[in-house]
Amino acid sequence: MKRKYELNNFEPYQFADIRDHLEAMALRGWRLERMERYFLVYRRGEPKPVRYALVFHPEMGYLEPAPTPEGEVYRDYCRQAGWEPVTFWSTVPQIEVYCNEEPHPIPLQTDRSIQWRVMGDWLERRYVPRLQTGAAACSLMFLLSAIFCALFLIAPEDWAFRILTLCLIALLIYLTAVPLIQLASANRWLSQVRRAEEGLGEGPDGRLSPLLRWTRKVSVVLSALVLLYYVWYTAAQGGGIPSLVRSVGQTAVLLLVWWGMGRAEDWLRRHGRSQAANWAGYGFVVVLAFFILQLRNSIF
Amino acid sequence: MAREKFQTLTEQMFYILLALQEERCGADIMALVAQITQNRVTIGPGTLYNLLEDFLSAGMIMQTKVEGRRRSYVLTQQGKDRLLMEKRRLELMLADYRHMTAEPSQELRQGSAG
Repeated sequence: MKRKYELNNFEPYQFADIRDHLEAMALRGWRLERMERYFLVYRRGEPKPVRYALVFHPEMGYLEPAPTPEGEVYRDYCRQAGWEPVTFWSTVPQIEVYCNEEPHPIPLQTDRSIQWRVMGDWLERRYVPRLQTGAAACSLMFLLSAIFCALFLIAPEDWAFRILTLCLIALLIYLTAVPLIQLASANRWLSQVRRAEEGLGEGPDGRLSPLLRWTRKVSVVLSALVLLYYVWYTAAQGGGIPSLVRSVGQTAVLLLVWWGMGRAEDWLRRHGRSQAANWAGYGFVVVLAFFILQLRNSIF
Repeated sequence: MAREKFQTLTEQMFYILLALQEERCGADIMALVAQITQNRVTIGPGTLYNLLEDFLSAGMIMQTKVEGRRRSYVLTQQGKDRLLMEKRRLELMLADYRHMTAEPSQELRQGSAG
């Protein structure tokens, strides 16, 4: 079966953008199969109008076997209205995607207040706490790395190396800012949702703002420039092609390990018996990943 | 200020409680409500699921049977009382409507005569 892989750079609050995108892909004959950490995976199908919707399950834990017993009941109700479950979002497992091939289906939620309440519960119980932990950890890690890199600025090295260090510091500061921006966005989103639940506002529109869309494009361009400069420096200054191959190889292994951990999470959710057992299993995966990363240093 | 839950019932809440005067499976409620309202009121599956959970937590319905994934519910006495209260509220509103539209107020009659 023919498949298509598309980079998944959506944020969870883009529920309307995601829905519109999946419907546009279905019109072109690509039906969503999986939402992975890095990719949206489609399978080839007949081009036709298909409605999509995102469902939030605030009661569901991160590594809880999916669907839960309550989730199965939810699915039965949805199937009766013509909505079929498609997939869970790998990195945000409380979000499940449904599709419906009827021309005018009954919406999954016909009470807007309930829709906002469920979304708000998910934000408060699952998403914002996770972002808070991530922001604290990433900020500390990247700031320390940036300070460490700054030490190289005062070392008697060549200008090319100093420029590279400056670029890396800028990138680390950006990576420190991103989780903080995500946390601020999530808190703003939660505030809008709670107000909408009480009938005091329209609620979030589920779309990436033009400013954030522009910021994302700029950051992609800047990251690409930094990466190109790094490649040039490694090849021209750092030890030639062998050094470049070594760097690319190490980075590829890191990305593969990160991807593999995501697939392991999906597997555990599909086949695991309980959340506790899944966390124990995931612990083994983390240890294995650690050893692979240590091994890459001796290979490359 | 946050509205107290179930202070007034939405149409969907009302019809779910109405449907559960008899023991019914949750999955049958959507079709029944569409049938008795002639598709005027539709309950989405997500809304149905969340409202049944809310009613269970509030003690207005109770789960009577679990057959695999099919769960049956019925009103509790608290649910019946709440439904009756809502019925009375709607009757009062209807009476007020009939009063205001069938019998213009004394002031209006005096104003039109003068």
